Amino acid sequence: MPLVRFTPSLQRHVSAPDVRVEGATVRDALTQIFSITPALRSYLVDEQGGLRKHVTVFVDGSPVRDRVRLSDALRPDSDVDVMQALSGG
Amino acid sequence: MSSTLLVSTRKGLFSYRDNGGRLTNAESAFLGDPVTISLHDHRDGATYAALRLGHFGCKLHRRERDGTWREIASPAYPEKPADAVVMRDPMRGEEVPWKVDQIWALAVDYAQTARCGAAPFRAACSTRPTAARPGRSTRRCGTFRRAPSG
Repeated sequence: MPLVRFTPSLQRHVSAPDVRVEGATVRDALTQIFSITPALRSYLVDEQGGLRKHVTVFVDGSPVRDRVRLSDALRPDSDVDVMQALSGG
Repeated sequence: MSSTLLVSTRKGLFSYRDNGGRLTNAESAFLGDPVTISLHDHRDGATYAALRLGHFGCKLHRRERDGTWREIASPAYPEKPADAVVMRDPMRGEEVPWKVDQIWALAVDYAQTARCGAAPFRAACSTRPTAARPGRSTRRCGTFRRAPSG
């Protein structure tokens, strides 16, 4: 099962330990996680279901391409890192 | 009757009490987090604080009488209709996202509700459900319900 890890900066608001969940896509994995920890949802996705502007998800080291539908595929042994995005100049 | 001053800042929420003509700091909360607006509801003693977390979005918290702050669901825009008119930032030309960016106003009224204004669109209002008056909502409204725990 894919392993999902969360940025430490999120832990100040919502406890989010590393977790292994079933899922063929990033959305599948997050949906399961939100069912376990509902409070996480509003921190990671907006009310339209897309990733928040300043949140990013890496799958096996690469940022997801589909930030709206989160359709990027996962392998059974994928590592998924949920992080805060750094932006600005 | 003592007065309390709520000061919402980019570095947290600070409340001050009138102590014989002098203001003294009564409480500090959300240190380091931007608090865009706060409101004391004199009817039930609750205080609301709206946060705009840089990475994690708009959040709404409620302080109970016992001093405990709890996160409650933040107002949210409904699902974007397929035929929604696209609004663009007049300066940058970028599409205005259909997402609550921040709460810029909070007010109580006489109908057991609390209302708020939320950017980027026009004011959104929210109602706080009670046993006698279940939560109602209108377009671009979200209800004041407790955030799921977990």
